[in-house]
Amino acid sequence: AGVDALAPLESTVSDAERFRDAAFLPLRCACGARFAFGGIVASRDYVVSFHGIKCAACAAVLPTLRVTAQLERIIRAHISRYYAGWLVCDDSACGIATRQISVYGKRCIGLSGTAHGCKGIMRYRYSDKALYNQLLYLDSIFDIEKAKKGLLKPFEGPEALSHALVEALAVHNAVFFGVCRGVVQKYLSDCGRRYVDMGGLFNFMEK
Amino acid sequence: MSVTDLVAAFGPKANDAEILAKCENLMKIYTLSADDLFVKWESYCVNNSSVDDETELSAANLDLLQSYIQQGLEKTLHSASKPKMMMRPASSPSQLFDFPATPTSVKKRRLESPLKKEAPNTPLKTPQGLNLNSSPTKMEPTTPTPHSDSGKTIETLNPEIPVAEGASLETVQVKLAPQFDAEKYRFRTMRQKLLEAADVLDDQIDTFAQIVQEAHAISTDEFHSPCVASQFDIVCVGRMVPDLPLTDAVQLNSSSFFLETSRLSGIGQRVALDLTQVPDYTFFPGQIVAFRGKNPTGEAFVVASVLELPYLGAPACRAQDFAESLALNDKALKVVVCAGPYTTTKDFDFVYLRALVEKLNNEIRPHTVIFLGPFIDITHPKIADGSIEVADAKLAPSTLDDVFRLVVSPILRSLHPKIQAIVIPSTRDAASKHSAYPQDSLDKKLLQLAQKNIKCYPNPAHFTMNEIHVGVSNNDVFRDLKDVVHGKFVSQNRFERVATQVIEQRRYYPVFPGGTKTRVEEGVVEHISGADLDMPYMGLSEMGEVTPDILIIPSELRFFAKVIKSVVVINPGCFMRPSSAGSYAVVSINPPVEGEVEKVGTEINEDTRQEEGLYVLNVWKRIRVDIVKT
Repeated sequence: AGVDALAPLESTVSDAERFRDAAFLPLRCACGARFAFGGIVASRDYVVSFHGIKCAACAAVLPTLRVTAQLERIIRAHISRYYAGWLVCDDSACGIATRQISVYGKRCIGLSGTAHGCKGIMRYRYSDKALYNQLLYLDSIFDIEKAKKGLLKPFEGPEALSHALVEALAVHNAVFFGVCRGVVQKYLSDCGRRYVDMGGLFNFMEK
Repeated sequence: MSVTDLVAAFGPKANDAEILAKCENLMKIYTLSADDLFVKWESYCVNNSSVDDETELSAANLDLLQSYIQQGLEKTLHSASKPKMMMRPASSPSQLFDFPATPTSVKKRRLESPLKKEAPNTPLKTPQGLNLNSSPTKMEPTTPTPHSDSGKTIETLNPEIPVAEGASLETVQVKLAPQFDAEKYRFRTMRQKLLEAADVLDDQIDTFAQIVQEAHAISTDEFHSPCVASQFDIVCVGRMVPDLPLTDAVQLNSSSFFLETSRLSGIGQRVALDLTQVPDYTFFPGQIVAFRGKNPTGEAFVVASVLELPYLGAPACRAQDFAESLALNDKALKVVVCAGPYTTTKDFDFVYLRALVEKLNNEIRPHTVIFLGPFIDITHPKIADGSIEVADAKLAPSTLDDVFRLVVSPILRSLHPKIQAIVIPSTRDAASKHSAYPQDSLDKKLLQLAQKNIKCYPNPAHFTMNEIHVGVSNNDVFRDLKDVVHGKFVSQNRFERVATQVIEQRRYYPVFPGGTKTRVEEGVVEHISGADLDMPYMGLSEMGEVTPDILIIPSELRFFAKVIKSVVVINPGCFMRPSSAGSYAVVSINPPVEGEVEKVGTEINEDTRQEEGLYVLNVWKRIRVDIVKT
């Protein structure tokens, strides 16, 4: 018991830890090349130039709308996947994945389908926390302050960019990245996880 | 970037390996020429040198130069007015990015769609002289007239009723009143709690158990759990569920249904169903059903008969109310219904929508238009691969919301101000940040639709149009409701069956779990879209106290208009199909005439304290629906 037994606050967890499972932003260039975008970090597939994101395959800079449209679509695909509502049973002997929900919610309907027998507990496979972290990650890759501080999740392989270069690129891309962040913020602003449920906390006062 | 350039600019002092390396690095980072770098250096020296101590060209000072350049850049960034950028995103980014020489030749060709090329040749058929003055939009000779058979009626319900003449466009003749609480749709998404979802699912069963008990006058003693063995007939209410947890891949059949009980009626257990004794049925996952039968062995519940769920009442109207709406408009009411997508999957050209709005202003002149999303479909292939292009390159949108504001909003705003427009989103609408069903209405201000005659309603929405109740739900239940049919229902039209289920279940989207669309690419299943049900809030998708007179549920399946259980059910079809024009619906409703309406009861008017008649307006008897080719 004691302070150590408490889980750390979300905000105190480092980004590296928090975004461990978050997916990179997949982008497609006009030349057909696909690459994972991870912000102003070293990558074999793209370069962040002074004029935006440059595809390494064809050396063309991706127009703003090309990036924001793909960004928004991927966010919506994540949200829709979340709303598909897949549940998994935590009992390793059962472990079913289903989109059905028992009237008890956490009760497993089991392989028999009769909702008794399996003692496992059902959870959303794509949890609201995972979705929230995914959105935060997509926000972070367009966050020039985080880029300058070198807090972004790096790609494996290529040598890191020099600090001075990152700083310069961050400034040059500030407006463009701001537009991209605006797209992510649109959804973060509607994300229920970000807000404390005051009604739930204080409903005892209504009595 | 040669050594000689640097030496030429900075003088012989620079001819030092370390200094040269630093300089070259700076030139690379900030893409400067040797001369430019020298200018920066000079400006740095002027700013930092004291009178008697000139700044020396050294490695250390070059590092300071770097932070000086960086600070300068940040300063220019902050002075660049950011808020202005948000309003006119086109201006600054285009200055900042020189758009590269991507294969423009191909794009250019795509920009000019074949329709536009056709336009000058085809004679203008729109009656220009007729109503041009009252129309806010000016007709231009280049107006595209999409197709020769555009505007052709392809299907008609009640053809004996004449097409309404349309509005006079001098006064507003229709009174729209929302029958929903807009605030309730403003919940935050992406925070589903499993227990709250389960509460809703549990409540659905218990609510119907009570309805069935009252409707069929069954005593409480007859209700028992179908999961326990019993020797006598019992009554039970539950949800139809598949027998296996993995249902998405499996085709259901008569023997693959279980019945789920509520917490109260059978501690949430599920039991196998024996349907061999039931001659006619239509079942789907998520359906609430009431059965009479018994479970002789404890293994399976043998259904003896299916108890019908009673329908919600038809809306009744006070004599005074319909007299009021008659005073507002004694001619036939005209309503146009169209549902997205509004572009083909090959481009982002809203040429057909633009043509429709002009036609609405000049020719059709409806009292009300109902526009259903998606306007900008987030699953559009050109968004997925990022190759989205707007026909008018000058607009230079930088986000999908800009595309809506710059391309879609102007079209909707060009609607005649006396024509009422109702805009209802789809969960596939890029312009909606609330991408869950039930869905909040679109943001009028953000999308620059803040005009008096444009109303943004949530999805689903129940509202009255004069005295007529209209229910609109933009979630494709006709595609997603996959029922198992037996007996007499087999010969029934599928759309009729599904519409009957929606009316019977009193919910616009009774299927659970909701439909999903996936794509398999390189062996990986990718989620595309789905019904996106936010289960804890599904109460908002229930019909409330009455079945609407008109039920509008668009579907990607074939358009239709049918009268089902005295409800007019309309699927206008998609406005644009993937590669061709689609359809929309033109609805004409004759005014109610005393004598034709049915008196169903009386009510004491609280103001006058006199008895007043209540009438069922039988909208289905005086409505004509034309499905028209886009």
